[in-house]
Amino acid sequence: MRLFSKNYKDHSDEKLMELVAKRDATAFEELYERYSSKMLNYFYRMLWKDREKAEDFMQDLFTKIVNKPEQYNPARPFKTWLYSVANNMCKNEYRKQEIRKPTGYELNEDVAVSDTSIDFNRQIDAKDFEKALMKELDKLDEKKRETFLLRYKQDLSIKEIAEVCECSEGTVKSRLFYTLKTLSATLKQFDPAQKEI
Amino acid sequence: MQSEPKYESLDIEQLLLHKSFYELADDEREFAMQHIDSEQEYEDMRKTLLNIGFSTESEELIAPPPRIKEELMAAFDEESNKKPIVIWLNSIGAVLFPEGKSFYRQPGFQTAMAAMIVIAFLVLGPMDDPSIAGDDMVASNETQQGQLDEKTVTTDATILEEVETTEEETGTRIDNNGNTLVAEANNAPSPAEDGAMTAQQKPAVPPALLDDSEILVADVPDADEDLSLRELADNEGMLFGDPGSITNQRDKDANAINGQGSTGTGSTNYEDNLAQGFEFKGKVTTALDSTSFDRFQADELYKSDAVEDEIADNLDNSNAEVTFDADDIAFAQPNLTTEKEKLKKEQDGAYLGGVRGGTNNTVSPASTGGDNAGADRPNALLEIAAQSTDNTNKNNVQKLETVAEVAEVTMVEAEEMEHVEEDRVTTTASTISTNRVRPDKAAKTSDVKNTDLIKGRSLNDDKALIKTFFTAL
Repeated sequence: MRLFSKNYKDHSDEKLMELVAKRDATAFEELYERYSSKMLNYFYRMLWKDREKAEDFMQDLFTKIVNKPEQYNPARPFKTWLYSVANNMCKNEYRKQEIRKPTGYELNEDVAVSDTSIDFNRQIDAKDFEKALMKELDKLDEKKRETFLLRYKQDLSIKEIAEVCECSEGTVKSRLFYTLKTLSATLKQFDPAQKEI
Repeated sequence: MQSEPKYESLDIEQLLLHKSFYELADDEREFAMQHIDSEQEYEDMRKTLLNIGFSTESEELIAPPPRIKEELMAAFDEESNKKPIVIWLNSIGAVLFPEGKSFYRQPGFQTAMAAMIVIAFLVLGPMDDPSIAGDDMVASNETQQGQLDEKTVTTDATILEEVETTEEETGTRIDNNGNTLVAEANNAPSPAEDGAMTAQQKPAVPPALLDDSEILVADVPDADEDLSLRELADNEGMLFGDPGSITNQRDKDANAINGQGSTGTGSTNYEDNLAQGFEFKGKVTTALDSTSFDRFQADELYKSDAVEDEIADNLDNSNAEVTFDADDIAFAQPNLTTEKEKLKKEQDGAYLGGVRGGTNNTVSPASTGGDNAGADRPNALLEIAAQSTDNTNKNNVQKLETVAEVAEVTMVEAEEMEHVEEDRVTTTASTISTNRVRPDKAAKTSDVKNTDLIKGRSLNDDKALIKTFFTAL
């Protein structure tokens, strides 16, 4: 009989995953608490901000952990492995859709054109920038887009992105630099930070 | 020449986030200018990067609904509880009874059938063990015994037929009148008589003791009561009766005539009995050999009353004319080598014995003790020779010669059969002992061909002796 409950908060992701493989429900619950929100938002961003689809994908991702925990390779960090699985799920969804779902985030061309003549600091807020950013991201290829999202939306390090994308860190930095350079060319009129300041 | 370092000493992202273009140091500006064309481009990139960071921070994060957590935890608990059992049952069931296969191709069905066969073998296997299945062995013996009984009956009839055939061939059968031992065509026994005799002679063969390795003569019922011809033949003298108890041949007492051995009341026809006995013995032996008869059955035939009854009947039917036959047969016994010596002594006048007694053609023994019977015979022959001047002596001499020849053959066969019989006894006993479990081999092993073994000693000596004797007379 156990007198003190296990403190799963101190366990690493890998240790928790090891316990999950031993059918420890508490360990699984801890992992879910750590990554459920991140993965849901990741899917949300990756899947055209479709919340239902993001929730389904997030549930499928954790269902895989429940049914086949042995697929996890302990040699890899759990975080990168989890993002790799999620990233592959998104890629499969991209292939399935073939024609990407219209994001609905298109900016009003008329407004946009007319807005060019006015002060951006007062006319465009953060949401507008976000919509414009997602539109421009959709125009990029998958690798640059996922690298950009992992870096600036999921706050993964260059090393982690390299593991998730299974590429070198230089490749990740190069992708990030050229993505940023492309976005800056189209989104330079937006200045939400300056407006906020 | 200057190299083009990328993100080596300083990541341009960090420069964009933390410093404006005019805040850059000389080395940082030099590094930034390797990737950026102008100051404006640097500022645009920095502004975009800052906007991305700002939008991310201000972006509202969606929270997963509690429903997903509950479903996942329920799935986790269900998987944890059911998975081991379900996998085990599925694996066993899938292996033993795979879907899409006929029932007889399913490993479970095949395994069950194999198990049933093994169990059946283990249950029914001990039935083949002789030590356990004693009842089966007894039943088999009974069946074998029944077959042997049937074979015995058949063999008896075959033996009788063989005897009749041999009698006809050798001409040694005594006719109903009992006048001579030489067979005559018109004196051949009728089928009715044969049938009667057959019924009388059929021995009661006891069941073969196939499961007993020690088959002894003493085991035969009434073995002591019937001092049979065979036992007498086993003796070296091969005489049925007491040689010294030669009495009137016309004594019709069958008990005395058939040579009940120890009674010592034989008649002058004991040589006839001897000859007939050996003759019949040879026939029986031949018949036994031809039918692969068992030694046990042979003993029974030898010991049976039928054999002696036939001889007794033959002797009862004999007449006085066979007087000479008796002496000549006794004289012609091949085994009595001492007769020659005695004859030689007789010629030298050193031997005298025997008293002629009785009426005509009757020879009395010199001594009733029976031990000196052989010594009396030359005297009887001398007396007979003295009477040879009669006209009837010619016929008697002819008959004597004929009978002597027959007797020679008979005695040779009897002698040879003595050796053969010994071999047969040894062989049969050992074979039955060896094949006690499988009695069917016993009869086969007793199949000894007497015809191959009977290579009688030459009778020329005896014939020459007889001729010399009669010539001298």
